[in-house]
Amino acid sequence: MTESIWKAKASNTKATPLTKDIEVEVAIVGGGITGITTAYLLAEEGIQVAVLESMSVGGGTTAGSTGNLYTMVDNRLHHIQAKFDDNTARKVAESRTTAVDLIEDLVFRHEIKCSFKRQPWILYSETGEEEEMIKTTKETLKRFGLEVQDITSTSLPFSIKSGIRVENQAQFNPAAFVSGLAQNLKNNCRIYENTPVHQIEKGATHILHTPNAKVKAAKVILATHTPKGVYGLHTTLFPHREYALAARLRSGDYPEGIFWSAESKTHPSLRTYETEEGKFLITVGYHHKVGQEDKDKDYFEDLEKNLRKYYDVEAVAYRWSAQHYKPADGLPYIGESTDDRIYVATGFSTDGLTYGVVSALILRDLLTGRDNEWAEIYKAKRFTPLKSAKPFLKENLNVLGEYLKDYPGSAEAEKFSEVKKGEGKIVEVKDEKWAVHRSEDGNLCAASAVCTHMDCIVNWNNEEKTWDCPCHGSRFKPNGEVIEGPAFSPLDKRNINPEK
Amino acid sequence: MIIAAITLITFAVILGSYLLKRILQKKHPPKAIVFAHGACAVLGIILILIYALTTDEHHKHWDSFVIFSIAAIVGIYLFSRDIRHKNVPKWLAILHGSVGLFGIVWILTHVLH
Repeated sequence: MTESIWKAKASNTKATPLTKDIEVEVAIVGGGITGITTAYLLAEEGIQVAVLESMSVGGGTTAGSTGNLYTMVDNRLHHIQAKFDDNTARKVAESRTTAVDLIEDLVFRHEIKCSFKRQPWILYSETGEEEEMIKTTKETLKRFGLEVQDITSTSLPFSIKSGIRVENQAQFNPAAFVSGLAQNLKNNCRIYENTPVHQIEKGATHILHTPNAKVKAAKVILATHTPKGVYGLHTTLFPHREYALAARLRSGDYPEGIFWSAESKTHPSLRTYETEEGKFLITVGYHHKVGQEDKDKDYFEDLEKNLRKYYDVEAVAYRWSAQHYKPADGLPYIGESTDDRIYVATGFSTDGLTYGVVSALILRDLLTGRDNEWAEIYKAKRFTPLKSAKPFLKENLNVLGEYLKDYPGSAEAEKFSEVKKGEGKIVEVKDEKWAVHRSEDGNLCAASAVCTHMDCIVNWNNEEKTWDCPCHGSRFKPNGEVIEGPAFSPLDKRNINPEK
Repeated sequence: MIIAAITLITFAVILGSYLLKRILQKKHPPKAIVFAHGACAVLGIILILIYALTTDEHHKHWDSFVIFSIAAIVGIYLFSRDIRHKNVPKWLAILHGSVGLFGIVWILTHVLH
């Protein structure tokens, strides 16, 4: 089983599920950093808010992140500047800096124990291949008022060709922050955990259906990482997963800072996390599209092997993976969706913690009728065909390719006996594709392999023991229950005939 | 050109009959077949349109173009429901198939005469 270090070290919110019908001004679906920070800011404005979280607060994507907070963006500010303009890139930098400052303010105001620490951000090149990119990044960051230093060495156990360092970025435990903030919400905001939303009935007042009760709300915020349901926006969001592990070292120094490699695929991001039990080194790497991993590869093992090349690793204590959605034009989509009074915040790429708080600031202003200087650049309904064309075509052709794999006879197995313990396979039963999983104790469970979002055939993710949809990133438990992604409903259950 | 169009639409009808069978059995229509069906039909209709616009023949097959376009509009609606994991109305799927089949008979009758 995989578990993130953040989730393991955060306290639980212990909110109860929703059991009776309620009516609120704003319903927020999703209790991650975006949902809880938005709820906090709206509640401060005196608005009645309900947060509906399908699992536990801060336990989803937020707990799968790296816990780094920074002004920069993973696809580099100079790309945004080149694609849009100077003003847009400046606003991105400003909004992200403000979000990090807000997190710091909230941490100190409410004394949230989340190991918040100001740290430098370091971008380096080991091979020198990306020296030009580092130079351009430096110039761009300087133009936006950040103090950038050239460096020729780091505290990492390998030499670098070049690098830059920006002070005053930050690190924290994101799950602990969200959990802590959730415990400091005003009384006009209620959180319901283990309350998945199965359907949203759109109308003058939206009605959100949960297993035991309904929520009536004038406005709905989908803080679910990617909007739930079918939206045109899904054609501009490209779901990816990457892998992380936290290790204890036997000897050697833990690096202090946010370390980004300009070219490494095996350790693009490194950081240290200090707890009462000691320090952990966290590495992240190997990203691929959701549901399209290389089946012959063991990503966690490769990540560990790579870490052991540079560090004297005593033990790997935690391993987890997380999802991110790359936006077609490079900027997140934040604001009202194509449905009236339903708001979205998505497309954060790997910069989600900071963008989640940027979203909260924008959504607070949009819902209270205030002007927001960043709202226009992140507008969810923006149409940027020229800026989006290349990734849009590439990724949607990839989705089409996944659909075309669904033809009669394309299943991975013909009999249940071909599914070994701990495995999941697509089995063709009565001309239908079933997602069949055999647990470690030998029990079989089956569901239709057709994703309930947009009918793609799901694939087995052996690293995390989940069914992942390769089209739009919905993920399901072995028994078909929804974990994350745009699907509302679980995979349709199927009864096993053991003789098959 | 009209023969190529008829061939493509015949393929679309054959694939469509498989899809209709799946829908009547309440089974998921495989998407590769759905896309192949749609692609054949669209290409066939485009060829009929090009033929109608460019031919000097007396019968330009505008009537067949209209019949297949009606079938296509219903098909797009059915696809939009299916891709959103919603039930496809069986009666509408039968109507869609019937219009397509009628179209093939209609165009063949005119071509063979």
